[in-house]
Amino acid sequence: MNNEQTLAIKISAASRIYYQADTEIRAVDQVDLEIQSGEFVALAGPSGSGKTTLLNLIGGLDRPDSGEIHVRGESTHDKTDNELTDLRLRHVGFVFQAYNLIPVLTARENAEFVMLVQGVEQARRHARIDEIFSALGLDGLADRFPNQLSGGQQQRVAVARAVASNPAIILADEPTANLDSETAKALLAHMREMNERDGVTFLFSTHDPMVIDNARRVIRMRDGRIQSDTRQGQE
Amino acid sequence: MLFLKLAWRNLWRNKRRSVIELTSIAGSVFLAVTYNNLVKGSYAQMIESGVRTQSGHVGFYHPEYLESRRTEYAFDPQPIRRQLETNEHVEKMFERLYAPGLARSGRGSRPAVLMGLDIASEQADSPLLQPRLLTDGDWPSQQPSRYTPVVIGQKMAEELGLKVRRKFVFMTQSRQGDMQSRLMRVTGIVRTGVSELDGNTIIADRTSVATALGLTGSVHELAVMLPSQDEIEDVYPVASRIADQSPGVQAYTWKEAMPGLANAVRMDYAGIKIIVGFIYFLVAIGTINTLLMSVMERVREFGVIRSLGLSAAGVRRMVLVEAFVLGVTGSVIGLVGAMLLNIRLVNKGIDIGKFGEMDFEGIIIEPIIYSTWDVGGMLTFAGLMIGIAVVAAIYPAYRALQVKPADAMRHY
Repeated sequence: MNNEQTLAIKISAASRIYYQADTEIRAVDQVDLEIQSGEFVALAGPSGSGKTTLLNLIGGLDRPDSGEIHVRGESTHDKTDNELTDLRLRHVGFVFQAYNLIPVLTARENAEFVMLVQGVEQARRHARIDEIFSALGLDGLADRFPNQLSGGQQQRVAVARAVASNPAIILADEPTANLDSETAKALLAHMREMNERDGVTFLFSTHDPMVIDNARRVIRMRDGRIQSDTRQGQE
Repeated sequence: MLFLKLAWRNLWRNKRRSVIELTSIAGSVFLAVTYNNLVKGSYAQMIESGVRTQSGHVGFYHPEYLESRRTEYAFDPQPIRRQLETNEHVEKMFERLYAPGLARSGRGSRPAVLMGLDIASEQADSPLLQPRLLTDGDWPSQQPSRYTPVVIGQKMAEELGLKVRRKFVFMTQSRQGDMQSRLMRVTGIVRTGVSELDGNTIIADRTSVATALGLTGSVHELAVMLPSQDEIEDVYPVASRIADQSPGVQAYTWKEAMPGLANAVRMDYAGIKIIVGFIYFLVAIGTINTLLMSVMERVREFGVIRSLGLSAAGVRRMVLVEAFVLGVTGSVIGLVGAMLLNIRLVNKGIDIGKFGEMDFEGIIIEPIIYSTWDVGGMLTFAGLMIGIAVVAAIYPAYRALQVKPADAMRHY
């Protein structure tokens, strides 16, 4: 297996610039980064350091003003919005800081949303969701609506939604920011387990020290640039 | 299925707004369907009244008669009668004579039309010969008399100062084209509520009119009555073939024989369509507003579902399905409401007598109008509303597509 084939994400000199009034804000500034398949990476840094913007660029939710991004070998540069949507549908799962569950769908329906869009048949969807809910400690909550779940439960449903379709990459934006430490710890354990068991690549932005401690690789950002990129010896 | 489920549940996220919009959709469909059924029912009654008083569903005339109304354009109806008597669709046939002329009494004169009818046989069918219309006297008999016995309209009686048993002179052209005067005696007075009929009509027995005009054995009109208008297309081709074989006779549908009534109905209905169109246009604006508000409240949600991999087409479909569900729900509610009311309107009708006497193209209008079941119209109005709701969703769907996932989650 050559290097290109095992690369989940490759970023070359990517920049994203915003303008507020006449002020130029370099949210991501000339970033180069490679992440191998199966890595468990934390993107750390203070608020405004460019973590979320970088995740959005990788997921094709936003486009770089310059530079190139490859996801599983596919360049996002020349893709249309629909092609980027399709890329996300096939390869990328998202976990958002504010859970972002669809309020009119039950926990099960939220979790199987991506599979529904993919056209996976009902029996397979249900079996998969049962398996994931069981693994994430969500047994018995499948028919509840988001407003009937605690924050931790909602975030676990969001994780279930992200992993249900077996994406190669999961991008998580501050997944533990709204959780108490116990719930955050449990969620992190689940994500680690999926990473180790299924080889899913995890890239999450965080400034939670506990999350950073649990990552195998920590990329620190400041002012849109990568300040450091370190591997942590765990296990 | 996912979109239907989402649409249905999203519909109830803002209950008050949805209830208002559903009420407006349901109300419009209810109004359009009820009005359409009632109007179609009243048209059917008016046409039936016109058909039974005048041309029949299919009528035979001399080819020049309807244009000129000249006395000499009469024909022998018996050969046609014999051929149509065996037709399964034909209910009855009435032979009629007409003579335009001038009615003159000691007080004055006025133009009038002498109608020669087989009163006894037509009485069961003709709205003009209903006993309730007779305000004084009786129907004319077939007994031979020096004076032709007639019934006249109340307005004519008032203007000519005539009462029952009084005599007056009727001047008309004979078959040969000479002017002739005939003495007539009033046996009864009718009041139809239609000023044209009450002011100009003289009703007499056909035999006595035929004698007076020198038209024994001939008629101006052979009116063919069918069980309903639906059977015209079965009978008219047969009638045309028979007329082709009968020199000096032509077959006409009631629309050809009474173009005034047909056009009046068509124009009246066009006016109704314009009113309904205007109501539907207002509903479309309301629907755009409702869906636009619904979309703008969910910008973040649209950003999330785009992030999760739902295509632009999927988002568009999602908004359109919401509009479809809104349209279907409102239309079904409106349709069911209209059907429930229509059951009563079909059976009991509406008494419009209290609004005064009404006149539509010289046709006698019954005081109670009955609704009908215009299933095609009901489905059209409901379907149209669903279509309008979906079309109204195009702009909100476009706005939903403008949502950039990253912006949606950053700003909303």
